[in-house]
Amino acid sequence: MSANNGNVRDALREWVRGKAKPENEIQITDETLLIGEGLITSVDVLELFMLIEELGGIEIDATELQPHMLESIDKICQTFFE
Amino acid sequence: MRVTRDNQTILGGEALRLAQNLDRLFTHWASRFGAEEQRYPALVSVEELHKLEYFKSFPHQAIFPVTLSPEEENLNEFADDPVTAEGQLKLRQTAPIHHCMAPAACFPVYMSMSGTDLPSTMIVTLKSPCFRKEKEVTPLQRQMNFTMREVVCVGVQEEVQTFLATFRQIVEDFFNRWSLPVELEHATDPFFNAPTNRKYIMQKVAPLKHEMVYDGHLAIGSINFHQNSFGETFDISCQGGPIYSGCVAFGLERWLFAFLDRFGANHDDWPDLEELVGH
Repeated sequence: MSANNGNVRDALREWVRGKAKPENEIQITDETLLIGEGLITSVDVLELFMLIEELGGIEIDATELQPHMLESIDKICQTFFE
Repeated sequence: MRVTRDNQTILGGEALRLAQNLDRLFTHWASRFGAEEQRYPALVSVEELHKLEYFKSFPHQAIFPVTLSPEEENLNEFADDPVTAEGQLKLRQTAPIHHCMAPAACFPVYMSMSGTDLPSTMIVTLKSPCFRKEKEVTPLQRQMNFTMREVVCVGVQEEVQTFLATFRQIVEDFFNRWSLPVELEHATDPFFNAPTNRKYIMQKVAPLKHEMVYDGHLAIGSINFHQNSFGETFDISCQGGPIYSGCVAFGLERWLFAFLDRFGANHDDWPDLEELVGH
């Protein structure tokens, strides 16, 4: 799957926007740090993990995850959809 | 220092004095942040631990204080024949269990703040006995009953992160000064069914937990950022939002092991910690 796949990015953007709270007073872009900016917490991360599996039709081995793989929409696309 | 027949550690003499001085060093560091010393019970509410999903995450480590059901017949049966030839308890009916032996020092801090609104960020320090089931026990290095000194920061996100960064610098300076082979390494906790646990996944992808790893193999402490998870779980707020929290944890027995391993058994060769803390 290509990182330019609009459906994947659109789905990720929609999910991230749905997680943003009023106090997240930032412009959300594909480079926004999802965890660093406090947009997602451990409560959300499993949901994001499952969304990526669903969008990619893939099964991710959580033990193989590396720091920063879920850092931003760009990093997610580079890691799982290129 | 001696080891019992069932592999537990007894501290005395110079080894105990070193352990006490190490703890004074940690509290000295904590005092730089104005930390308030507190003391908590060793028993933690099962109900509160369940809110943290502790039993889902660490069922293999939980240790419970089991008591007997109080019926006289049940107690008589136990008293008449309490222990097998192999030294195991022959439990009869047990009473409902409402407590767990504290698995970590800092959990009771957040639990005690449940439902409160903090006016500002606060820092506390505490030393607690901790209890975790282990498959194998190695004196000082891996014990089912060990001692943890923690410094806990609770409040505004930026202040918690500054606290953790400053404390990291303090411990790294200490390791460098005494040439202790300790590296700060990104780490995860030993979750049960780890790949399906959201907290494990979070620790894998975010730099939330860093362990102080001695000589490439032994975690003698850790620096942890919990984001706002304890604030949301226990409804603790500060300045209009759920609190963020972080803690720095020191395993006293493991620090003692590292010092004895690095500097030897002769106390004349040990760093003068008393001078270091100004006493």
